[in-house]
Amino acid sequence: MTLSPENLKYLPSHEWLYAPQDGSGIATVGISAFAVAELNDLVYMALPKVGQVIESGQEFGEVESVKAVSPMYSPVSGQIVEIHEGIVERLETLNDDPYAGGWLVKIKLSDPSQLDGLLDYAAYQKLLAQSG
Amino acid sequence: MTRPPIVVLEDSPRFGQENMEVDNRLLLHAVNQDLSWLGESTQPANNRMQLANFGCKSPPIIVRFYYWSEPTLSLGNFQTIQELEVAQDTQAHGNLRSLAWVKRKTGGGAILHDNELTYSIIVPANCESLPSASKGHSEQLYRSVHESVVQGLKQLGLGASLSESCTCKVAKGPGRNDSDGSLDSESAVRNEPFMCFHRRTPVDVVVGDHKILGSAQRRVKSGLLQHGSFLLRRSSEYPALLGLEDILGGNVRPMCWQGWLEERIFDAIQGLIGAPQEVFRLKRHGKSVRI
Repeated sequence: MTLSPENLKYLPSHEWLYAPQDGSGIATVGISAFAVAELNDLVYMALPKVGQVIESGQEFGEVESVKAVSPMYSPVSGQIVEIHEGIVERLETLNDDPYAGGWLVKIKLSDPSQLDGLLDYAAYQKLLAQSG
Repeated sequence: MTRPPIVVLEDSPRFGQENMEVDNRLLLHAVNQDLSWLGESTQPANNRMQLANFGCKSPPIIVRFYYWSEPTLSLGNFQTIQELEVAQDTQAHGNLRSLAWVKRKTGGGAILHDNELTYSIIVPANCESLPSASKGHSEQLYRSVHESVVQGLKQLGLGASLSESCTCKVAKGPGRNDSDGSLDSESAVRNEPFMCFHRRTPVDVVVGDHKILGSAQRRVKSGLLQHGSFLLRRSSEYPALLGLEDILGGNVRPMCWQGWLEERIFDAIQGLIGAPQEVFRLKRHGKSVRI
């Protein structure tokens, strides 16, 4: 999978999405390096079950750092078709590689047009610069 | 920049589920200024205005103080009641298993709410005076409140400080000072004490070896919730922990700790956003309903 920060889409709440042009309609979702840095020390993570149907903007999981619980929001609507097996026991992976190695869920898109509403890399970087 | 008003809600004791529901609802409605759902038993404390007519010009920062109708164990967001059965720090205290319990939406360990004062601070997401990211905790709010409490305790003659130590085992990446590089985050975390007040994070408030104040946060789209627990006296349900009055002994005159903590939290908030333009005080007299 060709998965680097530059070819991902983003939510302002720091989730990323990778939508390959392979006709599968399946997108990969995770949280950005900025989010991992903000969370600082990851302790727990809860992910949804395979088969769960989720709406764009809805929480698909939660992550706890030492002092805070933060929801993770789905960038798109669809059905969870895969979760990253074992990632919650290896959260250190997200510190090292929040993108390719630290993906969290795969979602079968129900409305591919929602991809157009997400931030591209340049827009996300601009957002980070503004909030920094 | 408009400084947000502050609403101080002095709540009457509630059962666990209801106490958590109030905080969750305050958080989810943080960007609104309508607090009329708090009910007729809640009234502005400093005038005769009806709550239904109460309104802030912008979403307020809410500071709520509350107690519990019965000794209650609140579990951190990711804790389960089954962990109580196997945790080492609770083995000698079987009483805990018979207590009422509730889950918090905030993280951290379990807290016994008995002879303690709970506070919550709700900051709306669009609060320009206290901007924050949408993931992780607000270090500035957390640290400011705790440093203000330390300062206040020192004025009482106590050797209070921030813990500056950590019992937590977190997921670490390469180069992050993991001793053998083989840390299993899940099992390591599960070996942490079950009870929050046996854990240490660097910003916890301690007096000597005793943790007196611990806080934790939850962040959602509408805002940030910070919960804190201030131990006042030893609980017969879990005598392993001392409260502030146990440490003080007879060395200080009886105090209204709620008023004292309110001053400390106000100092902290003012340090962050400046003096608020408006402060509203609400007091609730209603009875709790067991949900």
